[in-house]
Amino acid sequence: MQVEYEAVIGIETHVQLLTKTKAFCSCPSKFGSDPNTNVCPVCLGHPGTLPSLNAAAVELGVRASLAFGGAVARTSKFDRKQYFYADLPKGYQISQYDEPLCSGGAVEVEEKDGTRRRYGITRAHLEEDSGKTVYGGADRMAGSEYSLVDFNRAGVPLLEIVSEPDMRSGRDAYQYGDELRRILRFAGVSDGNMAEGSMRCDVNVSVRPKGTSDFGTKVEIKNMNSFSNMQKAIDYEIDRQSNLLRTGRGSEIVLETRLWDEFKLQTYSMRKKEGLADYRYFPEPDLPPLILSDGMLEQIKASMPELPAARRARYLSLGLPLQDVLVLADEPTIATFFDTVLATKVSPKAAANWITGDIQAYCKDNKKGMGELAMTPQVLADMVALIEEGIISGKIAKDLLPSLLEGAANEKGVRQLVTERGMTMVTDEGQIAAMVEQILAANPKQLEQYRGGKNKLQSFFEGQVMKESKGRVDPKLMKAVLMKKLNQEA
Amino acid sequence: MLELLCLHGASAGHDVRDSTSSSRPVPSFSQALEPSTSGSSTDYASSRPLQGKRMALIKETLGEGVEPQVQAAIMQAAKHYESLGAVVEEVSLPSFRLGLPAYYVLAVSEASSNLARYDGVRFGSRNKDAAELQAMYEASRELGLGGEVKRRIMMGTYALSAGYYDAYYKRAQQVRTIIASEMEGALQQYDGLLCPAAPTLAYRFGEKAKDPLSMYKGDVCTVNVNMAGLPAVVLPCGFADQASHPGSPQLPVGLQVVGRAFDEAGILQLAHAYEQTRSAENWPTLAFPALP
Repeated sequence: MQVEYEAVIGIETHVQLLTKTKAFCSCPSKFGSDPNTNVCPVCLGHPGTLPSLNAAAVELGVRASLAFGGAVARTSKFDRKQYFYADLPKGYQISQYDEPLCSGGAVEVEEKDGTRRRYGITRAHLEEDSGKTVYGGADRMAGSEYSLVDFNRAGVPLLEIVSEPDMRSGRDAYQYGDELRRILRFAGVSDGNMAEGSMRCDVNVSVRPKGTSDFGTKVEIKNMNSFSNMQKAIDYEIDRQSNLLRTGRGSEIVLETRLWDEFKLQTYSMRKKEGLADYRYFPEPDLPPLILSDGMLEQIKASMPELPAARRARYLSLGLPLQDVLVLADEPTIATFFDTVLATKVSPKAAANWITGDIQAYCKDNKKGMGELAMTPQVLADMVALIEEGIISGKIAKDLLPSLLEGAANEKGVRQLVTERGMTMVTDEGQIAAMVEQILAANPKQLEQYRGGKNKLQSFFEGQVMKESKGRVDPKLMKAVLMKKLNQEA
Repeated sequence: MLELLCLHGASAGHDVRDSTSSSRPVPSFSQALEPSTSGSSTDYASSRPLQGKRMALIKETLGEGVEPQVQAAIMQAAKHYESLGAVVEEVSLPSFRLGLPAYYVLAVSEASSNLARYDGVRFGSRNKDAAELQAMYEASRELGLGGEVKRRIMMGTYALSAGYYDAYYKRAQQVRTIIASEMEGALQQYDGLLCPAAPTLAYRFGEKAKDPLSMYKGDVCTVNVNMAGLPAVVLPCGFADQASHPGSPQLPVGLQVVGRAFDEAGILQLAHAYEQTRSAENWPTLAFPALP
């Protein structure tokens, strides 16, 4: 019988915290500046300089910990993690070793079918980012002729979040990362932009015969710039390791760091780890212990925003289908937009439909986030209200929406725009009857066929009237009038 | 002491760029100048200005390993303090001599880390012949760092290594805690603790280069002040013969006065009183030999 293998996966996630300045100096921590322009003697590690901790980084670290349900340590400390690398100017990284800011916590994932899975978090700690090495003459280290270092990133505050080895597949890892990112974004902790490197996942993958409890030799995979690449890399790695074990070549699985090649769709070895690296951690003598006051902790707790899970629960309780809820609570900007519309007391279902349908499609087509929409939430609310009041039809609203999205009604309001453009619904029975008669008269052939028993043609006439009225007739009333005319004169 | 006081007054207090600096308010140091500096030395002494002050000689810094003339100068200084009205007793701090090895473990550990930045990438003289990064580090550090510096980096790196950390760095921190609490305990009873600044006179340049351990031993009296986070001031208190170089001129002996945490004003006052009343022959004059 063939042995079945199962994978054991743990993820270390580094997230850049959304502070204005770096962790230990007052340089801007923004992304995308010219190389080596956001630097100072402190983050360049000049001799004689000292770190001073950015309180905002601590606050965001605490927020993140509260968001994934970790226990925040009232006292934690900083340590030096020492290694030599060109992008590490001091020769050590200020990090937290044995007394991290946060212990425990979990990410709970909700599937489309409503099932839930829980992935544990071991700990989370504050640390500083390194500079960024840019390889010259090649796109990676191998084959490059020289390297340059950009220290803009050096000293940017990071939270390293270490998961429990709770994942078993690339898909599990995708879900964990995706929900963790969502939590961090809703908590305002990080923008979680994987392409820009503000969220980076290092994955540890090992494989063992199913049913056993010892861990196999683990391999670390880095360099994945999206969760779907992370999923592919993990599944590739599980296959690779399982095949080696299956073919008696288990000894070829070694402690190493592998990188994901998104073009060849495979992992390749970057460096072998010879034993465990000795980082010679010791307490950072330049920083006192980090002590959180009751006041600060209470203040942060009180300022915690509603998180994705709570939002989903709230939206579900409005009677919205899970499918819609997952979209509405996917992004802080979408959720905020939706909540602003909800506050105007329009029907949640109608607002949700517009947002998850036409508006999302518009965002996708125009590569815009909800936060970048020209249309204010009030405009959508007004539009939905006009439909509910019977002043415009859904069809008209659909035609109107593109210009609303460009901001056409932000100033004057939807009601006035609709009036100006003559888009209000025709609800006068006489007016509708006249239109119907006109259509019947213009299509004698179809009328004859209908009256000869071809009932399906009813929708043809409905369409014609709609077209003639440019979608403005009250559809219910129009149907009633049409049916009366079609059948009455038979 | 006046200059020292001005300097200290200017540098004391919280520095926003130094998280290890205290944020407690800086007291006025002018009390250190009381009693007044006016009047003759004799008048000053006869007024017993240190009446009510309690001081103690640290037992573990005297006796074995201390040059007799150094010790004599310290004992004389203690007598002088008594003449100014202070009570001078002896106090035993059993952990005092553990401070030196503990200090050297901690100091070289930090040094090994602090000096990592001199790797030739941004600091230190880079060896440009090296073919790759690791070789460049090794060649640059070999080239740019001096012998004593390398020795300390090696020791510090060793002390922090996996498997040795607990036996060295962690243990040294535990010793530090004991020393600090012992000294703080003594300072609850005394306004100042007295000891030599060093057990021997200054040695000659290069004399102990081949024997770093005996060089380090010279720090035995001063390192604990840093370990315990206490203020101290060293002042000249007399001269002694260079025992190993008979016939050479005498060299000055330093008296260290250790005070309570943040009581710089207190020890400056003790030092000031001594300075104002010391006998002239115990005070060094700065005389430089004429250039040839």
